[in-house]
Parts: sequence; C-alpha cells; structure tokens
Amino acid sequence: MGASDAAVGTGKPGGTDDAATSLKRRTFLQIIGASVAAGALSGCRPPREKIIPYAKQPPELTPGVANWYASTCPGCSAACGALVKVMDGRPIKLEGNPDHPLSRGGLCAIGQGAVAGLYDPYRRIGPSREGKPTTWAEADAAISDALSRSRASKRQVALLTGSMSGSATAALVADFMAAFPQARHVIYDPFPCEAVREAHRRAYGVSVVPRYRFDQADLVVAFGADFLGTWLSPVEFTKQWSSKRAASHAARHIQVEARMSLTGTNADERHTLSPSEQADCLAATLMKVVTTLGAATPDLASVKASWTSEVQTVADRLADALVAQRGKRLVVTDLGDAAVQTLAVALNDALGNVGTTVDLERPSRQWQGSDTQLASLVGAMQRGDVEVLIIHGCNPAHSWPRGKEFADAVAKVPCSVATGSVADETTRLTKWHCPSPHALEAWSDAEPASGIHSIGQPVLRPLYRTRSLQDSLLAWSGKRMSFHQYLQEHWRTAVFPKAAKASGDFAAFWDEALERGWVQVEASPTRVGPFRKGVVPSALRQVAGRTKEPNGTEFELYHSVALRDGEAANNPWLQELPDPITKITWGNCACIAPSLATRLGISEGQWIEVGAADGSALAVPAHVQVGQHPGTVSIALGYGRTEAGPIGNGVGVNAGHLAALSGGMRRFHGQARSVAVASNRPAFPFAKTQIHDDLDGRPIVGEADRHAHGSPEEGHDHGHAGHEEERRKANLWGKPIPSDRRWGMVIDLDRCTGCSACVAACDIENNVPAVGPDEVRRSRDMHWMRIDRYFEGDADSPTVRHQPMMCQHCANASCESVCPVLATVHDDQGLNVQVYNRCVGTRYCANNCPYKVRRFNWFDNQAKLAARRLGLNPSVTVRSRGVMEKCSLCIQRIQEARIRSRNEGRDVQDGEVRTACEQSCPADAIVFGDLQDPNSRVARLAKDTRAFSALEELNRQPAIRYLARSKRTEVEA
Amino acid sequence: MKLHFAMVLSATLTLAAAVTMFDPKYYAWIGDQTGYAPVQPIEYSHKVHAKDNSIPCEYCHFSARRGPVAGVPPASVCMNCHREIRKDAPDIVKLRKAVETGKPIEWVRVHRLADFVRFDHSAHVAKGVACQACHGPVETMARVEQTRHMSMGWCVSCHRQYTAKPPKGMSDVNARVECSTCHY
Repeated sequence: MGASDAAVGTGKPGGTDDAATSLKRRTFLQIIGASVAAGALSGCRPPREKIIPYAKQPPELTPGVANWYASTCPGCSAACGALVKVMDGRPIKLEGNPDHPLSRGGLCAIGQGAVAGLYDPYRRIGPSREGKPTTWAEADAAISDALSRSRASKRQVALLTGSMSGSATAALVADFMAAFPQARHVIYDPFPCEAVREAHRRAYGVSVVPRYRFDQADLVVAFGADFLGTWLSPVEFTKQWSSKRAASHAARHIQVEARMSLTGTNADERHTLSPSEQADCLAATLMKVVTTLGAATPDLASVKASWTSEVQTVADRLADALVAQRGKRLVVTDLGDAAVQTLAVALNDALGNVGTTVDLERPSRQWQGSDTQLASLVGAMQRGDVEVLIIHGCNPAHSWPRGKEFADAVAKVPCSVATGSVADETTRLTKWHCPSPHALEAWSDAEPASGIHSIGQPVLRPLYRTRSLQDSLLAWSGKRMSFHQYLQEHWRTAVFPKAAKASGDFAAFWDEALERGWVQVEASPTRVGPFRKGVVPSALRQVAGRTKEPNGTEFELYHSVALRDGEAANNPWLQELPDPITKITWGNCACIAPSLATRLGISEGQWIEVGAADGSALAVPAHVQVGQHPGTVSIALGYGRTEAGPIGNGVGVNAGHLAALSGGMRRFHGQARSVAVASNRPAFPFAKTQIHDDLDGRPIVGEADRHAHGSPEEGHDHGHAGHEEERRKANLWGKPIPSDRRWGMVIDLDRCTGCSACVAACDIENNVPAVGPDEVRRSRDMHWMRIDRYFEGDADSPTVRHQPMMCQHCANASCESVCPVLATVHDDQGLNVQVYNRCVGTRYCANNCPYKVRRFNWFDNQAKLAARRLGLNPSVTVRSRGVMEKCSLCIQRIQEARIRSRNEGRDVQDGEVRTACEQSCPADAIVFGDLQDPNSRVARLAKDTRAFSALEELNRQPAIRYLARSKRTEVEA
Repeated sequence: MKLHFAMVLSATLTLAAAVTMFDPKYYAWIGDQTGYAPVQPIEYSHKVHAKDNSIPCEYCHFSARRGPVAGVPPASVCMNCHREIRKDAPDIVKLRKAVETGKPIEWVRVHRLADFVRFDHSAHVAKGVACQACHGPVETMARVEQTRHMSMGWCVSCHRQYTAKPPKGMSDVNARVECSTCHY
C-alpha cells in the first residue's frame, strides 16, 4: 500500500513520461537498447541482500507468521474492539474483535485506516518548541516550571482533550488536576453530543448519552441521525440493526432527514424535511402521540402549532406508525439543540422506550465533549486567566466555529502545550508540541459503555521520540511511574474488585483481559429520576415559537462516512474512499436538490456561495443530489485542512465556521442568508468513482419482497424477463474444468448498508494504492472492491441500492479468453487468478470484463517513502507499473489456511478463511466459503430463493452470488 | 562519432540480450545464482556443525517447520553451546557481543527468490522434503553456496515428479503446479 505521497499531494500522477515524449525516436531506441543490455548484464550479478535475525528472538515470534493482539480501535470515541495483526514486529492491519460486546467483529473504514496513521511519513518525530526541535528534558523542565508557577500565582491550568472514556485515564487526569488550585479539564469533541446529555439532565436529572439498543427496537424513527453511517457508534448500531432486521421481518425503520444519508438509503420509509422542519416534526409527532395515547396535559395542549401542513402530514404519519407498532420503538435525533433533544426524550418516554431501547442505567460513555465548557475556556484564555494549556486529541483550531478567536486566545496563554501525534492546525498555535505516539504504540484504556472496560495495548515500541499524554501527565506531576504501571494499579484497585471472578488472582485477571482486549464488570446503575413532565411544554414552546422563514433555504453540516471530523485527512486511503452516496473522493461538496439547482441555475461542480445568518460565508462546489431536501444545502465537515500534511492540505473546503454557537453549543444547521452562484469560477471537476447512477432497467441489483421469504415462485424480481432462456445458456467455453474447490461468496444486499468498511479493509489488506484525484478523474482508481450505488425512481424520493462489486471469479471468465499470455487463468481452487509476473499489460482482460472490476497500474503507484513501506502486507505482492490486478478473494488467506490445514493433515474448515471484506463488515453481509461443499454456509445461502448473480444473462457463472435486497415499502400504520 | 559508437554498442548488446532471452538454452541463465557464495560476517561452517557434530538443521533453523520463513537463528541460539565451547574465539566473541548489546549479526542472503514468488518452508518440511533437495549438501559446505537453480522450471519439475511418484516415506504429495500456488 502507499500512494506515491508527494505525487498524490500535488494531484499529479505517480510518474511522468515527459522526458520520453520529447525524445527523438532514434535516441529513444538507443536508450532502450542500452537499458535492455544493462538489465541483462545486471541480471548476472546477485543483488546483495541482508538477513538480520534477532539477537534474542522473542519466543512468541516466528518470522513470517502473524501475531494477533487484542486492543481498542483508536479511530473515534466509539472505541470498538480491535485485533491488531502484527507481522515480523510491524502492525499491518486492524480487524474487528469478534468477541467484543459492542462492535462484535465489525470495524468501520476509519478504524481500518487507522493503521496507516502509524506509518504517516509526516508524523512528528520528537518534541518541538515554537516549531524548532527540542529535547524532552527541556520541554519537561519548562512545562513543570510553568505548572509550579500556576500553583503559586493561582492561575488556571487547563487540560483540553477529546473524549477519553477510560477509567484509568480519567483517574489519572483527576489526580493531575487535584494538584493545582485552579485546574479544569475541558472535553471537546468534533462531534457534539452535549444537547443529548443536557436533554436527559433536564428530563431525568442524569447528564448521560443513553445506550441506544437498535437490536431491541421493532420500529426506529430517526430524525436526521445517521446511525448506520456516522452517528455516535455506527459499527455497534449497524451490528445491532442488521441482526435485528435479519431476525425479524417486522423490524421497520423510518428516516426523516434533509440530506441523503447512508442511513436514509437503507430506511423502509424516508421523508425529506429541512433541519428546522425536523424539529417541528418532532414536536408535532410528540403532540399527536401523547394526544392519541390520552396522556396530553392541558399545558401541552395549549402549545400552538406553528408548523406547515406538510410537516403536520409527516408527523401524523409518524405518530400513527409509532402508536400502531405493538413492539418496541426507538426515536433518535442528531439535532444539536437541547430543546429538540428534550422532545425526543419525551417521545421515548411516552412510548415506554426507557429501559428497553433506551438504556439510561448503563449509559454510553462515548462523546462526553462539552461545547459550553470550551466556550468558557476560550473566554478565560482571552482574559489571561490561564497559565498552562495542554491540548490533546482534538483540533479546535480547525473544527471550532470561531477558530480565529480560539487561535488568538491560545496566543495569550504563557505556556501552551499540544500533544497530537501529527502536526495539525492546533499544534501550530501552541508554544510546545510534545507529540504522543500513535495509539498502537502506547497503553490506553476506554469504557465505551458503562461497565465495559477496554484496553489499548502497544504492539510495537514507539517509532519516534514520542510520549503519550498519560505518561506526560505523570512526568509533569513528578510521579516516577509509567502509565502502564498506573493502568495496572488502577485496574487492580478499581476494576478487578467489581469483576465476577474477583476471587482469583489479579495477574491472571489482567492477562486474560489483555488477551481478550476487554472485560465486563458490574457497574452500579446510574440513578435515574422520574421523568419530569414539566420540561416538555417549555421545550415544545421553544421549538414551536421559533421564527420561521417560509421559503428560506437552510444549510446543514454533517460528518462524512469516509473522513468524519477530518482528523485522518492525511490518510490517502480515506481521502480516496468514495462517499457512499455521492461517490465523490478527495473533497467535499454542497449537496443540493435538483429542483434547487434548476431554480438557481446551478450545474454540477459549479461553485456556490452559502452565507450563514451571522454573516460568515463559504464558497463550495455544488453537487446535485437526488433525494436531497429542496430547501436545504448539506456540506460535509472535516475538509479544507491547512496543516494536516501534504496529502490532506487543501482538499475540500472547511465548512466548520458556518456552524452557529447557540447557547454555547455548536449547531450544525441554520438559515442560509444566501445561496448564490459564485460567478467567474470554473466548475470544480469532482473526482468520482461512479458517474452513471441509473440502473436503466437493467437486471443488475435484484430486489425481493421482504414478506415473500421462502416461497420460490413469487418473491424476487431478478429482472431477466425478456432474456430468452437459450441466450442465457449460450456458452463459448464448454463445460468448466472440475476443480477441488470453488471458493465463492454470498453477499446479502438486504444487510449491506453501503458503509464502505469493506473497501477500506480491502485496500489495507491487499496493498491497494491510492492514486490521487487526477487519476480518479481518469477512472484509474485502484480499488479492488467498490460499492455500486444506484438511484431509481423520482428525484425527490429515489430508491437507493448498494451493491458491493469485485472480481466475480466467473467459471466462464471473459478475461481468460482474451489474455494473450495466459496471465489470468483458473486454478484448481476455482479461483480466477491474476499472475502478475506473466502479465504484459495489454488490458484486453479489463476491456472484456463485463463487471469492470480489473484495475491497471498506469504508474508505479506504491509509496517511495520508507515509512509507508513499513505498513505493506508482506503476504501480498506489490504490483508494479504495467500490470493488471483485481480482487483475488484474499488468496493469501486461502493459501495460509491451506498450508496450515495440510500441515496438520486435515481439510480447510468452513469459516476458517475469512476475507478482509467479510471480516470487517459491520452488517455481516458477506459470507465466504467453498460453494462446492454442500454443508458450507455459503453453499446453503447460495440456494436461498433470493440468490442471484449479477448480469446472469451473460452466463459467466460467477462465484459471487448476491441475495436480493428486500423492497423498501412504507411502514404500516 | 561518440553517438555512432554508442549506437553500435547498444545495438550489439541488444542483440546479445535478445539472443540470450529467447534461446531456451540460455534464458534460464539470466538470474541464475548457482555458485554464489558470499563472504559472511562470521566464518560459520555448516560442515563443522551439521556434519562433524551432527546438529540437525532444525535445531538452528527452528522456524522452518512453523512458518514460511526458515530464518537464520538468533545469536542467542548459537550461545546455547558457545557459552562453553570455544568461547574465546574471535567469531564467538562477536556472537556474545550481539547477544549482550542486542545488536544482531547482519548475514548476507544466499538463496533469494523474486518478490512475486511465495515459498513456504513449513509446507515442504511437513511433507518431508529434505532441506538438501533445494539447498544442496549444505552439511558439506564450509561457506554456504547456492547449488541449485531455483528457477520456476526447477520448482515445477520437482512438484510434478513428487506428485507422480512420491519418494519413500511421502504420501499424498499432491504438489500443485497452479500459478496461484506461488504467485499472488
């Protein structure tokens, strides 16, 4: 893996042939001749290579055999369980921990990409002072000095961090804070959740983010919350919801949203409302539900509805569905407004969801950030009250709406310290940069949900002169111990006694926890007070009383599936991961509805200027998105980084400053003062991986009636009506040669949400390079696996279908027939293999492939930078320029299992080989195995009535079978 | 004049290269490292260890049965014996220092396959293929030398022979000759 970093950063292809084109033919031939001769001669001389064994080899290590360590995903606050694959001492892949109670083996794209951060060539290699390298001793002396000054002067010590849910870390921070008279710990997350906590505080007296249980819900109504894509804990929620839906056909989901979100594309029923209308709709739904249930108080009935009839219609529909549903219900919203969140809390309470689908007693401990606290800290810094500021794990200079104000405030702090492992906009502001190691190089802990403690363990020594925040805090408070010791001590005293097996010995408990990566202990339930009915009318009045602009346009800011807050912007694989809906890579856009585009005369890629009510404005290229609310412009956050590194700098635009601070909290939506075409700027050419969105009636993605399961006659429409039977049987190839096995896959399109975790997993596993936006525009992206996304129906409410697409490993393979050098052939395992060393790069195979899954190396795309090369998977050949490549069904994993089983004198078991995509899938949509073995899971699934092959009429006999997606029908009310 | 000379030279060399590459008698010669016996940082003799003192190959190359890489033993393995035997010889001092400082010995690789070839030692060892089948009579060598071609044709011929007629003590060989056996 490894994009040619410099080339990607500048947007240029991986190599240029300018020199060759300017040469005369004769000179060119001379050079070629000489180089062939030189090549032949150099072939005679052995390349001198070294073998460097360990001086003392650790006993658990065998060269060429991977070790796996359980750890915690550092990607976001959700802290999913992860297994780290370490090959010859180097971590090369993160996979979901199947044993983990929350993420249950899934890992999202961000988590998959996290390992690349370790080998980011632009990481800080040691501490620095005002940008100049310094030593740890010097930094420690100066910071300790400033800390003692603050003790004497009674000025503040402020610790500004992202959410750190780990109990040992929290205890350590508390210890550190206690040593100073004026200390405060401010938590700031790019993803604000304060309104949710505030609403629960108002309603129940507990300031928590509940643990939502989508696996318990029979009907989910989500207002804007993209819970399968980016909201709170998407992997956990996807696992829950996909298993629930698979188990019960009655589980339904209604999404009310402004933009086309990943979650919205998977909903049974979808309504488009602008963010302010969503708030209205929630209020209207609440009023209707309590009235229907006969629980309305006079206080409530007195609230005057100020919303449009359109909102009322949607609300009536939702209320009817919620009331009619006999099972458990769940209402969620992502609107960052405490009043609106209070309405959602009230609705959940009225429907009796608390204790079933909303767990308040054992709440989530993710996303503890508080915008109001940061706002107050900025005030204190401006007044000069802060002596020492330590910033860790957050980047307010980029994501805080008033970044400039924040920067000025930091400048007024005498001793400012940042501890990020990479340089970013915030570390540039501080006097000291004391870099942390990558999460895979340090000890950490997390408690993503109450009672579930998770350990992050280092899997290699820090590559550079770095020290974790925890170790730094210990050093600065004069304690002579490492965080490893502190963590163990804390677990011995605080976690171990609560564990069920506490009678045993702590060392054994600790070893077991390390091996599993997590432990579950008895957590004392949060004391939840009775629901305070009094909060509802005021919240209702607050929402209903807002001034409405009847025909105004609104804007909405969101986090993208590929980059979220943009912390990993310097990761080329995540930049090149196509957005699941727009299929845009390398940048963000303003999603506008086709009707708005027509009205304002905006075409695709044209720059528009979006002005917020507070006067701030943003120029951003427009993307015309079907399914978008006509009066809302949606823009992804996390882009437009200026100090991310050469890969991420200047990719997209930063929309963060459009967010308004209302009551100290960021609000990611608002009235757009203006939306206008920014004239005289040429249209932005989006780097898209899919440029045709329509199925055009072709039978590619099957759809089945969800309720017609098990009846082969009715049921799904493969759509091959009109294709005659003979044509389907037509075959150029004769009978396929019998093989020992037939490795294949079944992909359940009903489970697949399109989240693209598999794409990222495939990239990292198979050394698939990122090629940069210019090459993507030329359709030269290298993804072995892509997710085709189709829109059907009218532009206002289209049906969306996602279909993972990779080499289909056809029995009648078109590619094999046209290869002049037999570089692509069938093997005795039923695989269609690509032999890189035979390939001469004619590209006939790619041209003849009906699925368009073959990728050609136009350049030597692999990294030239040594740091990136450390992250390559040594089990997969690095392909060079001029060679075709494609999905191998993770043949390196098949071979590993074959050799292991043969050495042990047995057969490969079903489920023993898991491909990278299958392993990472949070929805368990992919199953891999031997289609020839009648008892394998994959063979059984392939016989399902929903099973079909893509482009079945071509009779390619693919080894990839799909299970038709259920028709999304309206929820019964 | 210079240009003219360059042209003639390159044309000659190109022709030579073409002849070499397309004559089956010669093309295997390209990249053939037979006879390669580089000087090692320590004058280690396999003859002394494997023949004279009958130490089995897998005592030192203990990874060969466990994984794809046979591995050169860590210096600590040498010290199992050399803590006592000839402990003051200059080469042994080097080994002791390596263990003490943790700075490993940098050996020169003798047998090397191309990057696009995957070879798994454990698969061969488990089936009972003798080390000498590929590495030659190492136990007679004072300095390790490559004695076999290690070209693809050489690998495949053995896979075919062993599958057709398994040598004594080997059964169910079924050594594949698919491209995907080694290239992925």
